[in-house]
Amino acid sequence: MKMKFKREIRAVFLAVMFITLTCAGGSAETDVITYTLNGFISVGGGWLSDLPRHMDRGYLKEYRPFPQGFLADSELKLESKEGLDYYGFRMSHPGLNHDQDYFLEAGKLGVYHAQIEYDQFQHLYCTVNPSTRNIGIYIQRLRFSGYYEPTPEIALFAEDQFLRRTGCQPGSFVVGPGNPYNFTTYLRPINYRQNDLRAGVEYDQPQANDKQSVFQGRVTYHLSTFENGQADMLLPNNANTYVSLPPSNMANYVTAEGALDLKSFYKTRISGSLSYGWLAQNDYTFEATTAAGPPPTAAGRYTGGAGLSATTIAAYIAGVSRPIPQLTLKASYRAYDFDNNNVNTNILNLAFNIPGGTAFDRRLEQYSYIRQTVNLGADYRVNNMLAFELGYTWQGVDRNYEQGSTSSNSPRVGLRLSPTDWLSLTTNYEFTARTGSNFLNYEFVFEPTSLLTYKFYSGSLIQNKANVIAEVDPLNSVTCSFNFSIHSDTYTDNTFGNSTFGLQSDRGWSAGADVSWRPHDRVALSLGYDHQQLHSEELALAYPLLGQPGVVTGDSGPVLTTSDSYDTFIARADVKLIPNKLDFTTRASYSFSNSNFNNHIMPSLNEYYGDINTFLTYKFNDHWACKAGYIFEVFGLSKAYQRLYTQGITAAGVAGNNQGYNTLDGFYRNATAHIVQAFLQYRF
Amino acid sequence: MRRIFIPALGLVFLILGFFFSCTSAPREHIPVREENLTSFSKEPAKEEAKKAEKSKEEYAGVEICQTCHSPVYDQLAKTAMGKLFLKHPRTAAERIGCETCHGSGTEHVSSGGKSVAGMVRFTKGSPTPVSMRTDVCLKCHEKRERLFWSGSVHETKGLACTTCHVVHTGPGALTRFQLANLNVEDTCVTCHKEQVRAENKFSHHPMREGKMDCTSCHNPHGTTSPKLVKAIDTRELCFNCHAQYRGPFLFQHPPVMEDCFNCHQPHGSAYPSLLKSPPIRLCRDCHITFHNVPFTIGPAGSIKTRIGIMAGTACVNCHRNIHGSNNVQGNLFFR
Repeated sequence: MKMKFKREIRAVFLAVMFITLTCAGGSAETDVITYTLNGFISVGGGWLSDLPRHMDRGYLKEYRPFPQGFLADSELKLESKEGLDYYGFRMSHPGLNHDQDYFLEAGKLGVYHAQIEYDQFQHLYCTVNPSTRNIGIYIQRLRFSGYYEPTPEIALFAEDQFLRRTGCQPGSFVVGPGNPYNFTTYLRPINYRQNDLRAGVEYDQPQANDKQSVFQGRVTYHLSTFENGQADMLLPNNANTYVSLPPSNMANYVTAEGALDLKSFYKTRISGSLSYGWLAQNDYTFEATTAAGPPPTAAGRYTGGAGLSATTIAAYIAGVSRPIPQLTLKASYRAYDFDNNNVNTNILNLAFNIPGGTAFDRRLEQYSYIRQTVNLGADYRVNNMLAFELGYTWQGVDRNYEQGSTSSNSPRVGLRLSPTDWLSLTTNYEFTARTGSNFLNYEFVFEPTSLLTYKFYSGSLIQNKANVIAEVDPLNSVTCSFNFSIHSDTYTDNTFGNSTFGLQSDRGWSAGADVSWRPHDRVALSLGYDHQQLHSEELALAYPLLGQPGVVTGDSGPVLTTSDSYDTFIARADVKLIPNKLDFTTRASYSFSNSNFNNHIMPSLNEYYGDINTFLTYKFNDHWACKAGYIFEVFGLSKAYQRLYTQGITAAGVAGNNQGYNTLDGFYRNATAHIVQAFLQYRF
Repeated sequence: MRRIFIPALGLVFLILGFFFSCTSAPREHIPVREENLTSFSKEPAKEEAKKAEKSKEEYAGVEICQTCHSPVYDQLAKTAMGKLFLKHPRTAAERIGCETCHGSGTEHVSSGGKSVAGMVRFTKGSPTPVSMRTDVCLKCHEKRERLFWSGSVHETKGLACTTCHVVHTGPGALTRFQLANLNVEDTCVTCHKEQVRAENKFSHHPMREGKMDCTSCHNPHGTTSPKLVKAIDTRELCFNCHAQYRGPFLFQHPPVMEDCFNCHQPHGSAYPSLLKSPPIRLCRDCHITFHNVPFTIGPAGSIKTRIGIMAGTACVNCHRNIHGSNNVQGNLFFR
């Protein structure tokens, strides 16, 4: 209690100090020398009214802590009076750990712009394990970006993002001798540093007149490094068992892009890109030992660098032409080549993908592939009210080392209709026929008694997709938009003698509507609703029984169905209750999802999340205002599912051995939060 | 103390920057800077003058536009484009002002505002073809992020620049990207409800918490990669923040090596870790269960005792390093 009061006093003290500073500058800074200051500073606090157990609120705090205690927000912009130079500063929630954001920018219109931002957030996992209060990753992000245009034709640009992740996340490990189908949980340490630097130069040839052809070109270099401060860990209670954590790695990309505008040749524009990437990973691996584990000495367990690498080539070329004003023709070719350099690498006497090798060798699954896409399209505008689109896409994926190939053909049609100035309608339909072939039968090699399966992302498929978007403005004060989309994927693979185990079908539709209404200059209201329905079927559970030939299927029949539905409602209101004095704003959303596994063992999964964010703002004068608000958040998950996560399921309904503390991000407790906030704001 | 240190540091930085700018850019230098800007145009001075003279004949001029459209003019003057066009034009085209984009308004003026023939109008339902409206914007903006607009999916669907952006008025007119709505998500949701509303699903990226928005991953103006992602390929996109899964690994998992979206639904999911389907079923989309353990129902219909181990992340409870393993014994992704 004492601590609580101390915290409140500190918040008030800081708020008052901040306001004093604001006043001192506020009277003179609106118009300073050759600059004008715009923006606001607001300071205040937030109070969380209920106090459920810390661990129960995990979901509501998944990415950021509750906005409580001392809070401040600011957005300031300093602009030179002649309007070219500007400096900006923005911050939100200073001092609130894992939710602070600071942003600085400077620039001169048409010459340069530079910005730097530092922010924090978190990713909390569910905390059902009572011995561990916080399972989560804390993320710090430092981003810089900027460009400089020494002349209008040339631009130099650079950006950098530094990510720092620390903390832990749930982990688990199979335990016991033999094949026990049992596991234990542990906390995986997270100590990541990632840096992505991009820099380049662009040239844009100036266009003297509308008929002159122009060229544009850009070269970019991208360096991405990932460093894991801890590349392995010794499992608790498993003295000889080390687990590999994500290895440090790096990637370099050099990309050249360009475009040629041939204005006089049927208004044609040709654009293209070529990117070469080199990926490398040389973190250490463990010594090859028996299943009992590596040698006990730490120094003896490493084998040196993995020495793995891969190269990528991404190419793209497109031509767009407008021979007559109503007609647009397009053609493009895109390729992504992943060249795996590790196929023939020997490490610790393990050879990768030896033809005729053992199943174990093959399961290393190192291979290269190239994905190519050809796209053709034509768009014809009959008049201002009607336009048609026709298109065709071919995509092929070729993999080496008997990993098969995939080829798909997708014709499509589209229609755009604007019969009146208050109605526009866009609709598209696409059909895809995909064929997979020449796959290696891994499973057959590994488990001769099993029937074979295929890979849903590369096997044969028939797909239909359609969508409609309508925008309707029946009155000047009303805007409506409607969406409807439907898809149907049927997997038709018969690669292994008509064995169709795996994903069978995936169907779904979604519909949504938004309505915005402005009945009065002082009132703006909007409502939105979206519904999504998904249904998938798989034929997957099959296992050999010892001593018996053939395969048994089970789990409520050979076909497993999963049905998901999602509903989301949103509502907003902005009302100026007293013009230039009292404003009322509210935002609310509620979403509900239901997943039905059609299985009497697996309970249905129901989740809901809702929030309300309401604020009243009273303006004392042009500069001073106060703001008070209420924030409500609620989250819930079906109880039966919670039990499944916390206890597992046994025949007797008793918790399994060590599955009770399974904290694998699949479960959070139900929670609500009520937050009251108040701010004092000074506007320049 | 630490709670106020960072904001204080930020403010100090801002103040120092401000004083620096005051000392290094005094008022007298402004015309010089403006000259510099104007000199970016490589056109010879004579040609410039000729063009200016010609433009006087062809165009009504900004002052005339302002007479009737003063609220729009005032609003435009506050935007970045307005400041350049109306106060610091760099080229002859920019100097024309409103008519740079809207075309000559002489007929409009001579008709007392009744005729808009020949003018380019950007409002919804305008008779000006979308391609013509877009061409106006691209004359200056077809570079940087817009290099691949031509042929992009949004261009194909008939979107104009002004579908998502505003020039004079609108909620986002004074923000840097001048969006037609208050923020990026409100702009995209008009057509992409299913994707944007997915941020309310159980597992989601920190969109609704304000740590990301649609443009963190997508460039709506066109890219060389599918789905308008900001990477050379969809496979490479996720590594912008999740490079821990990039590898190459000693033991690769093929769907990871080809595309993260084989298993993950990046916009939101009812299942943990943005998975496309429940963990207990996702793996079996490809894999037959090899284990001689019926996890839920036995052959005779009896309930088995090890169902619990398929809770949580199901197969990944044991095959933990499913994105790839660097362990010599990691062939089954156990370690």
